[in-house]
Amino acid sequence: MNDDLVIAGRSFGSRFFVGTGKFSSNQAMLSAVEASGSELVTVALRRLDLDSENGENITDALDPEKYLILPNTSGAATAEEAVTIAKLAYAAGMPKWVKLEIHPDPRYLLPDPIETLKAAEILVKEGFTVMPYINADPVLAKRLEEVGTATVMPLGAPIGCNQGLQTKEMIGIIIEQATIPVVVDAGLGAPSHAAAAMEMGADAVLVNTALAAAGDPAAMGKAFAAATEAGRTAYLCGLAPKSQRAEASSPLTSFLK
Amino acid sequence: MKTFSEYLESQPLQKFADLGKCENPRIIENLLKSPFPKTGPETFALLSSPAASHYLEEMAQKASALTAQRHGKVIRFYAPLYISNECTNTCTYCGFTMENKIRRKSLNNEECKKEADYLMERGFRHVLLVSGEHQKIVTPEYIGAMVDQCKDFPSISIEVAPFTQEAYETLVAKGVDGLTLYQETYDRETYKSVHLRGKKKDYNWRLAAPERGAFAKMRRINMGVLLGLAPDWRFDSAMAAIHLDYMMKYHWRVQYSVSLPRLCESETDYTPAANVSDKDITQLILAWRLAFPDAGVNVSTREPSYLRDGLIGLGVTHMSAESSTEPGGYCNPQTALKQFDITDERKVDEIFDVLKDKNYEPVWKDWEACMTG
Repeated sequence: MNDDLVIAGRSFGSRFFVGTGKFSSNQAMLSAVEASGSELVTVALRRLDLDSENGENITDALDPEKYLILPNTSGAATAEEAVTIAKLAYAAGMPKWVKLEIHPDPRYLLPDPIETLKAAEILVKEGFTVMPYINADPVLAKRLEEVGTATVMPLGAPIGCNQGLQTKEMIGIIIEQATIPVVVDAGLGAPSHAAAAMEMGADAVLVNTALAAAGDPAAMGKAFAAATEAGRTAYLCGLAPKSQRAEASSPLTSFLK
Repeated sequence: MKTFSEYLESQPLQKFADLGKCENPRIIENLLKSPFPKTGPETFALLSSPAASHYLEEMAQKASALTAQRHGKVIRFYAPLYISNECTNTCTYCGFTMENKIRRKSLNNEECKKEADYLMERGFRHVLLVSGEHQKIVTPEYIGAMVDQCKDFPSISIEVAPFTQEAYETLVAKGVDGLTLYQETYDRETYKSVHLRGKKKDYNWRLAAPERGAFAKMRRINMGVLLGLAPDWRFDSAMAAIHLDYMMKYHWRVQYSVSLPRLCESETDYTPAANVSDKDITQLILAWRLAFPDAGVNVSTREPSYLRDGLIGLGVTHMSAESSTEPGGYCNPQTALKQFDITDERKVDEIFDVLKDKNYEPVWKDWEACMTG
């Protein structure tokens, strides 16, 4: 059975997405991406030197045939900045897709829900495929869906902290209510975290720090990809009963003759 | 955004039909013990299957806890107020069908006010205005005039012909906050065979009405099928579950509930296509509760008192009481004008005693129209 993930009409065979920051070298990043089998890689536009010669940017190392190179607006503190960054990326020849990240708070880099909704509305109207990074807020997820974003990307925990699914309950509600793919982004520090998110029914996960900071990013990329697939398979076949708790109490259906 | 009709085309309906025919007890056992019990229409179809009918007690235990947790140990009471039995449809199963030579009556302002005052006096604070579907007589304007007579009620719902979004908007502006509208049956063949004449023949117009109501900012929408109309009541209910699931996802601000009216004797000689037993209806209510933990469940006075009492605590959240199903029937009962016979004829006090025994509380008032922004 084909279980490709489809986002805005584009199919992805792998449900594991990778961020490209924090790696010790472009080579380390590339080998991690390759080993993971990922088909979607997000790149911070602010890191790119748009005037540079070939060979100096991350994007030059990535084969656009193999990967969707998803520009992100990391660094933007307002809707206006994010919209500008998205347009710049598109003008620089990148796909008309954007991972919308707006974090005015420089410590935890938590996303600003109000600016994100504002920017999403503008970018959708301008024809962008918008994938917003958000806190795990189910109402915000519905509001973004209504303005036409292609996915929502709730965080499992503050970005870069590797703490795993701290927002599990809220992500569960987002998944239950969503009509667009839910990509769990940020905070996933171990393959088991990715598996847990997928078991719950997340459509994909995105990981950066846990790969970049690992002793062997390529091996870790492989481990995450395997965990993502395992979680997906478990979700599709339905988890088996956890325990056989007795539930003895007075009968409630004895009124039926 | 897809309309519900478009959405329905993308749904694997055969799969839902198959799930609803499930005979494998292990599948139901696993579902009931799953650490992440999935909600939604697939679960609904499985829990309404023949296999699940052997697990009613297990389902009831879960449903009972879930109802208390999500809705509280309360039952919200409402009363129907029939404003008109005029109808231009021929629906073979309905007492108001055009062919029926019953006396036709539409309340005037004064009569409606009297009925409303009577229900207020009895304690009701949530009224459901019900009418036949007559294009020229029971218009949105007429209903609006009746709503004006019910201004003392904090909460007003309507169960009338499907209208345009604009008409719903004007009614919402007048203070209507709830829309009850049953597709009757989702089975197109059955629908066609029982709706012979009149605007109601238009299946799609009716199908899209809850969505129009949501766009018009109805706060509450109540949906359902008329059980016994289609031969396969399980699949018909699963279709309603797909519809509810769609509404909950795309119109997520609305509070939803379902009703499970069973065909009962009316002034026609229609014979139901399926017999839905008391046990079947109990199973359906449990399935609704477990598959849609946040949806309300209505049980009307069509149902016998022993069943209504037994269902308290198992998923039911809303009940009508002391109902009359004829226009003017509270102040001036004539019985010749009614849509169908009610079964539970007890006074509210008697029903409240039952609630008290079950440690449940009756709620009269749950919303105030003036709070609507």
